[in-house]
Parts: sequence; structure tokens; C-alpha cells
Amino acid sequence: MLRYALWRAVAAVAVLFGISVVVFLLLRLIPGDPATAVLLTMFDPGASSAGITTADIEELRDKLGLSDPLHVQYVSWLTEILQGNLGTSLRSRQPILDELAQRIPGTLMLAGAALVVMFAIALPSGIIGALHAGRPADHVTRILSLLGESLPSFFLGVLLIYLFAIRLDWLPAIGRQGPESILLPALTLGSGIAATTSRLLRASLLDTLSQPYILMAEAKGLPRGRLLFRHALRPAMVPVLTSSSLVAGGLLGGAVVVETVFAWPGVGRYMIEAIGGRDYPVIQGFTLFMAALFVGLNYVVDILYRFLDPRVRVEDAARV
Amino acid sequence: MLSLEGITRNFGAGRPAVADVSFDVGASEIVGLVGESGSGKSTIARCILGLERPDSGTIRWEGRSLADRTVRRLARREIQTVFQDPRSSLNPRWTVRAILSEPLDNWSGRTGRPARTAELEALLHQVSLAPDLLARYPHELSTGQCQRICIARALAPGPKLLVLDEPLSALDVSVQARILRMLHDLHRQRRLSFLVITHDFAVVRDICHRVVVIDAGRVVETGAVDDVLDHSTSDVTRSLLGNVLPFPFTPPQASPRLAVSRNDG
Amino acid sequence: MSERLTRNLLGTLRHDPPGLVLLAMVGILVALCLMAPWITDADPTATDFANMLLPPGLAHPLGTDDFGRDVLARLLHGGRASLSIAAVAVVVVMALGVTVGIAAGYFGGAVDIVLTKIVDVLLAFPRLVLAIAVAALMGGGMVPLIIAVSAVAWPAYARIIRAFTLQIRREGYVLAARTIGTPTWKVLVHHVGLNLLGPILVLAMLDLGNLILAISALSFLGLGVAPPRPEWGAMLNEGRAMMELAPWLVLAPGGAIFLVVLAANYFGDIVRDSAEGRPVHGPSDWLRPGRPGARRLPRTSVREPSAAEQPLVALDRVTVDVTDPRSPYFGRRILDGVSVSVRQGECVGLIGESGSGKSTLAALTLGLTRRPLALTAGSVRLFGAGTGDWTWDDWRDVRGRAVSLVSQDPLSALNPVLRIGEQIGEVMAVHSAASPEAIEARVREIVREVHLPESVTERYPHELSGGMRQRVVIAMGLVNRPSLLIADEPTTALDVSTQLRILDLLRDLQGRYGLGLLFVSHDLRVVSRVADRVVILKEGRVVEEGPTETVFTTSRQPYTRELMAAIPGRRRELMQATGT
Repeated sequence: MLRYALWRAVAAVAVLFGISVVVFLLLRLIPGDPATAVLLTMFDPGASSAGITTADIEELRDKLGLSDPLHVQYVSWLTEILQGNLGTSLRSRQPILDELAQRIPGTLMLAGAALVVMFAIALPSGIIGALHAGRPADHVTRILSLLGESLPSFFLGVLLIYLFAIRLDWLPAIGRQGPESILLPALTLGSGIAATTSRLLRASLLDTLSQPYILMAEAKGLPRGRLLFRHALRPAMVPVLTSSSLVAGGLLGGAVVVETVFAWPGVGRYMIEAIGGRDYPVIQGFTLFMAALFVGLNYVVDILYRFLDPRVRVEDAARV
Repeated sequence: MLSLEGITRNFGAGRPAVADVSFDVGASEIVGLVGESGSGKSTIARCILGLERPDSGTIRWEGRSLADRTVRRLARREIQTVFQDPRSSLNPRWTVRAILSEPLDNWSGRTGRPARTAELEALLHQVSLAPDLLARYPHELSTGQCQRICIARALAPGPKLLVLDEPLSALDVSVQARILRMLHDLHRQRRLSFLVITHDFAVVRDICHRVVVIDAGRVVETGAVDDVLDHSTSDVTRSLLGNVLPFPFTPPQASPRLAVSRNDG
Repeated sequence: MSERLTRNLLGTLRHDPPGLVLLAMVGILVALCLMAPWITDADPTATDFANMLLPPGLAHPLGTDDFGRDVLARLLHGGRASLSIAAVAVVVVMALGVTVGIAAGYFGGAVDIVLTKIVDVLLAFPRLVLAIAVAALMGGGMVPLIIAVSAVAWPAYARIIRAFTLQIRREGYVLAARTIGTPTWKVLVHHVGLNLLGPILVLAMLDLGNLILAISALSFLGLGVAPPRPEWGAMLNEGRAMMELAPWLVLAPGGAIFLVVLAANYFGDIVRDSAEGRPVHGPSDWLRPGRPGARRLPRTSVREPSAAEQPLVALDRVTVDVTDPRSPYFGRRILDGVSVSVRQGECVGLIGESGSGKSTLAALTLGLTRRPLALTAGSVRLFGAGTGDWTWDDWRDVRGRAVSLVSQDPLSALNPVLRIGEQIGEVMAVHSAASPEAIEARVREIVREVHLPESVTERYPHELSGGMRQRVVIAMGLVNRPSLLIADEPTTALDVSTQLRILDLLRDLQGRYGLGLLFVSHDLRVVSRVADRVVILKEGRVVEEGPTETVFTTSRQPYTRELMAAIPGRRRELMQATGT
């Protein structure tokens, strides 16, 4: 077990290394000379480059280390990252890591609440769908999850605000004003992911129920509850958990959108503000941060998965 | 006709899958290659079929080494194979016509449709199947019929040697008997050689002339079937022989003639 | 796309009115968007401050926005942008994903390692986050949007296509094609390529909805086409502030995105079901509790037999048919008037080849006949009681307690995620009020009786060999000391020496427990070792039955004799007999 965890950790670090390369190269995507772009936005967003002299650009290039060869830049950049320095925000002049750390609790709280919403919807609807496969109850859950999957979260969020905040005035529309203000964002974020999970659980449970060992369990004379919960549901959860990286990815990516819709104070909104202000170091730092978080989450799930399914072997891990 | 000299095949570290294997198959001879699963018999077959290259040793086809390109091309036509699982070796999206046409296209060039149909029907006749199967898909056929199609496909290029990899293990016993009889007839009519790869000595006793027993990648015994089966000198052979389930009863009279009926099995 | 897929697809759609309506609506919407300049002559970017925030009406069917622009014109022109971006993205994603996937899967080696690592790293980002970052750094606009969305979507395809390619490469028919001399390029095109086409199209359909969602999310965040020009996601974002006054500004673009994504997902589902084949029927009826008011048998009526003469199980002229019209085998008769009985202490061998109905018969004795099969005539009597009106709970009470099953494949018969000890113990726990200590003691006893070490109770099924697993299944069957054991091909999945040991164990336990044993097999040799009496089944009918020795030594039945003549190892005479 410990060996497996260590082995997976090594793999995760390797992936993180790859991620750092991609994130580093992302900055090259900025059209034109990055230094020009940064300089422009620092002085006056929207100004033409006429007011900036070549000397200014050269000075900034040297300051940012952009004159060095690419791999030298990468190594010095990575060294900074490894020391916990994600750079400084162009707008606030604050360390990016501090700013992210300030806002991450909001995002985690939102993601956690959305996860609760997801399970509350997906578990019952997936189970009902499988048990009543081909019957009206199944059709209803299938249609609902199809609708849930197809409804864009930003549209759903806006509709919920319109209904509950503007029309009914039950809940605050935006921001974080009290415990109840998390309801709408969590519902918005959770329901879309719930649809996917519910469909997955239904398919997986149906598959498990047709396995010979369920027939054998029935031949053993086990009661319904035990058949369903002890024998069928646990193996059926394995593929659901395997796909949890989809869920985690959906949560982290969706958080950016949902935080924007509800003006929820989290890292996603911070990112969108940074985009508006062309705060390139923040965009870069945020991307790296979220990817690392994602890798960490997947690592934890991977270890959990091994507890749930004793069949997984270390060799299997090698192929991932 | 086919001879293997000191064939060795290594897969990475550990002991080689096949080590210094030598034997040969004569013209119109039926040789059994027997061993437990993992003994290396399938690797040997893959080397003979050119799906893999041995790390050392020579395979000769009619006296000439397979390392030579033109010999390989010739052998690819004259050595054909039938795999263990008849279903998975037929492309599920192809009709029997398409499946049997593939080797004909490869080897005898394209012909007009009527001529091709006549060729295909002759092939089906060889394996005792009715011509109306040409329009069917594999999933519409029984396992026994699939196996016959596989044999017909192997016969299409006009081979001299058939490598049969566990040709019976996926079939019911009565179907097994019919396929065996068909193979026996093919052997008599076309003077074909067979290399039968199996883990089951019962099958060897049924049709083989000579047997090669391998264990852990090495040949442990070779000889005529009756000699090896009744007076084996090898422990490996004896333990494999012990793995044949006994049937303590003797049927009333001489066995009945098995009708090889068309379209069944 | 294969003919079969197309046929299934059209067949499914024909019986799906809501699907057709949805497709028609989206078809019209897409057509309108594509023909936008000819549908409405309103300029989507022309501002008109005299006509701000007009509600939907004749002049402006969907109203106007806060700049007085016509919402319908903006919606249709915006749709052109959104849909063409999605279309280009799909093509880019497919081209990249398929190329990389096939290259990695077919060539393997270093190519595979490098490509797989790149894919792995890209998949390690949350998709939307990376897309946002790429679009933001490139400064927004149509081309950056396409690049951003494609860059994050292709790796998933590449991974799936690679897996498909690997799988097809290993198929027997690809190997066969090589041995009959088909050139490599032909193998790639005819066998690999054509078989990949279906899955690729299904993937494209399934992911189209996701791509449209991602594109509109990015443009909602302001990373799409530049502001005055319309685009659905951006329109929704702009309309948000005015929502209280003019909800149509949000509803029109939101509804359009929703409709298109819904259709893509719906159609994707249908395509997938047509390609994979949806299971014909759901799980069995045990999942739903019995009808309220259904008669419950008094439990005492289902006890062990009083007299030894009474058969433990008696099937009387049973007929089983495929009764589910949705099954492809609808109307086929599986068992036809079969009568079999098993008495206490007796072993009956049921012999039949595949398709003879022998497993159906075994299932019948445990009440496990499932759709699409149903008992259509005859009766099953268990311990002297008719089972015709038994509910699932009545059956549940006897299963595992009075009658047990040992099935063919011991690995698939054991639950992979539960320990052996639990799987054996639970049979006792649900059928008796025994204390946990008593159960544990009995589990240990039965484990020893099937010659397994006690430590096996702490193991999981995958940690055991095939023979050990089959011993576990036998222990599960005997833990409650039943009087009848149904063994359905219990040794087929095992190698010969293990077969012999399992057969001897069964025979030994049968004597010790005084079991009635119904032993189902295709192998005469196996049956001859355990059975007192044999029943020979062919195509759902009993061909012959009688004491084992009598049948095997004096049978005049052609089928029985054919089976005996076909026993491996004694067929040489058969070959020679045919020579002319």
C-alpha cells in the first residue's frame, strides 16, 4: 500500500513537471513581445505603443529575464516556483501566492458544497435509474440528467438569480453575505456535474447487476438490501470514482464560471479580474496552482480507489 | 519440409520463452506440438508464421532459410494457420464472401464475380458448408461453422502446411469430432501437413503421427505418437498424460460412422 | 459508418417522436443561423438609442437590447459565429486526436511513449481552466477561442483512439489477415481504419455538446469574438445586467445554447446506443418488492423432505421459451417438456452440449429463470411443494439454505470487493439467527472441509487460484447444510488435475452431507466420475436417461453414442472408420 502510494506520488511529480513546462510556455502565447505587452498594460491599458521607447522595452526585458535563452529562463522560473514564489501581481504588486491563498477557502467551500449537492442528486437518481431501467422512473431520471448536462452553468446561474433573488427575493443574488448565499452557486455548480455522475452510476450499476456474482448472491438467498447495497453498489461505485477526475475538473473549471456569475469571492473570480487587467503573471500562477490542485485531488482519489477495489494492482498503475 | 534448428526467443529479462528448439515436419505428416500453457508453444507457432522473428536459430522451409525475403514470401503463402478462437479471428463487420475473398485477392489477383463465386463455393465445399453462407455475417454462424470458415480461409492460398493452434478447444465435443474428421479428410485428399498445437494429449492421440513435447521453452521428448504416449521416458510427458480425464466405460460396439452433415457444427 | 449502425440509428429515431421534434427544431435553428443575412435585414451591430430594451413585438420579434440592437438579428448572426467555431473546433480536435491516437497505438515504442506523456500532461489540467488561460493569454477573439478549445479537447480523444487502435491491433482477425498475406497498408485501412470509424463518429457526436458548452462559456467570460459582434455566450453575459428589465436578453441566447447542446447530447446518446447496443432488459424483478397483498407461504411448508422417497426436486414436463419480444431470440424454445428429478443422496448427471438448455434447467431449480426466458408449461416441485405461486421472498428463503448453487466460473461467481469470509458467512447469517461467533466457527469448519487453509477467509477472490475459488463457492453452498446442490459446469473453467480434485471433493461431500446433487456438464468424462444416474439433453429435449453404467455401456441412442465416440483420445477409430 505504502509502496503504491509512493509510486503514484512519483508519477504525480513527473506530471507536475510536465505541467510546469506547459504553463511556462503558455506565456509565449501572448501575441507580440511579452515585454511590450506587459509594459503597455502597466503604464496605461489601451495606450498605443508609440509612447514607449525601445529603451524602456529593453530595460523591462532584462528585468524579466526575457533576454536569456529559453531553458535558462525556465530553470530560473522553476527555481522561484519551487521556493513558493509564483511572482507578483502587476496590478496589486502583491505576491500572487498570498493572494491565491486568501481566496482559495472561498473556492473550496463552494466546491465542497457543490459536491454535496452532486451526491444528493446523483446517488438517488442513478440508483433509481438503474433499478427501474426501461421503466417510467428511469425515463424521468434520464431526461432530467440530459437536461442537467445540457444546461450551461452560466445560464442556469442567471436563471436561478432571476427566480430566487429578483422575482422571489428569497436569497441574495451575488456575493457572500451569509451562510445562505452559498445555496445558489452550489446548486448551479453541483447540478451539472450531478447529471454526468448520475448517468455514470446508472450505467455502472446496471452493468454490475448483470454480473454473475449478483446472480450467485441471489442464489445464496440474500435479502434485497444486502444484494443492492453490499454486493452491487460498492463495485458499481468503482468506475464512478475512476471518473472522479472528470468531476474534479468540472468543479475547478466550473468554479471560474460560477464565481463570475455570482460574484463569489474565490480564485476563479480573481482569475477573471486578472484577465480583464491583463495581469499575465496572475493568469500563469493561477493556471499552475489549479493544475497542481487537480493533480493532488486525483492523487488522493487514486489512493482511495485502491481501498474500494482490492483488484487494482501496482502493475496497473504503471500503465496510467 | 519445415525444419526448426535451435530456435531461441527471448522476451526481455528472465528465462527465454523458447530455448534451442529443433524439430521438423515432413511432407503430409501430422505433428503434434504439446505443452502446458506458457510452455512457449504459441511463440514457436508465431515464429513459424513469420509474426515474430527468433533471436537465434534457423527456420527452413523446403530446405531454404526463412531469413531470406523471397522464401518468406513463399512461406507466407504455403504455410497457413487456424487460430484457437474462431469467432475473434473473423472480422465481425465482414460477410463470409468478403472474408474468404481476402486471401484470394492477395494471392490469385482479382477475377470476375461469377468466377470468384465459383472459387468461393468450391472453398466452402471443401469444408462441407453450403454455398448460401456467403452472404452471412460471422455472428449469424455457429462456432463450428466459424471454425470451418477459418479453415477455408487458410486453404484459399493453396498451402502445403497448416498450423492449427488449439483448433478444437472452443468447440463442443460432437462438433470437435466432425472438425477432426474433416481435417483428417483434408489431410488424405490434399496430402497436407499439419502442425497441431495443443495442451491436450487426447487430441494428439486422435490425429497425430508424431509428437513434440515441450516444457518451459525446451523440447523434452519427440517421437511417434504411440511410442511417446505408451512408453514415455519423460516426467513432463507423463504428468501431461495424467491430465487426461479418464472415461471408464466402453461403448457397446464399434463406433458409429459420424455423419458429416452440412451446415451443422 | 457501418450499415448496421445506420440501420439501428434510423430504427431508433423512427420510434422516438421527441427526438425527432428536437432534431427538427435544432435543424431549423441552425438553418436560420446559417441563412441569417437573408432571414432578417436588421443589422446585428447597428445601435438605435431610440428603441432601447423594447420587449418582443412585431418589429423586433425578440425585442431589442440596451443599445437598441435587434435581438433576433444578433441571435442568428451570433449563432453563425458560435456554430462555425464549434464546427471548426470539432474538425481540429478530431484530426489531432485521431492522428495522434492511431500513431501512438499502431507504432508503439518511443512514438507511443512521447505522445502518451504529452497527452497525460495535458489531461492533468482541468480542461476549462487551461482553455481559459490559453484564450486569455492569446487575447481573445475567434481564432484564439478555437485554439483554446481544441487544445484542451484533443488529448482525451487521442487517449481513447489509442486504446481502440491497440485493441483492434490485437484482434484475431488482424493477425489472421497478416498470416494470409494481406499487406500492412490494407490491414490498416480495411481492418483497423474501418473498425475505428464507428467509435470515432460516436465520440464526435458525444462531445459536440461539450465543445459548444466550452465555447459559449469562454465567450461568456469575455474571451470570444470582439464585443460589438454578436455571439451567444457574450450576449448572455451582456444581457445579465439588464435581466430585471429585459429577461429576453438572457433567455434568447441561453435558450439557443441550451437547445443546441441538448440536441447534440440527445443525438450523441442515440448514436452511442445504436453503436453499442442498449441492453434489452433491465435488472430482474427482485429489486422491486413483491406486490402488496401477494400471498406469502407459511415458511414451515418449505422444509426438508420427510421421506427419502420424496424427490428433493422434481421438474415435470417443463417448457421454457424466450417470451420477451425484444429479444433477438424471441419465440425460441429452450426446454421442451423435460422431466428430471433428484432424490436424497443421489447424484444426477445432466449432459448436454452448448444450446441444449442444461443451464436453463439448472436455473429453473433455483427459481432463477430470468427474462427473456420464462417457464411456459410444466411444474417445478421443490421438497414436495409446488413452486408455481412462489414469490421472490419464498424462493429467497430456500436458496442458500435448502438448495444451493455451484456455478461455472468461480471467479465471476465471487464478489470481487468482499472478503471470502464475509461471502461465506453471510449465507449463514441471513438464513439463521446464529451468533457471530457461531457463524465464524462454522465458516472455519466448512473452509477446512473443502481443504482450504483457514487464512483464506481474510483474502479477496482475485488472490486465489481457480481451484481455490471453486472450493470457496462449494463452501458457500454447503455452509447451511442444504439437502440439494445444483452444480452447473463446476469444473469447466479449471485445468484437468484440479478438475479431478474438485470432482472427488464434491463426491466426498455429497456422501458426508447426504446431498442430492444435480450435476450439469457437457463432458461425459466428468459426469461419469460422479453421477449415479445420467440424463442426456439435446436441443431442449431428454434424449436418454438411466443409470450411468447402463447408459454408457448399452446405449442404442445414436446421439449418446455419437457423444461417446467423440470423447477426446478415442477418436482415432472414428477417423480410420471413415477412410475409404
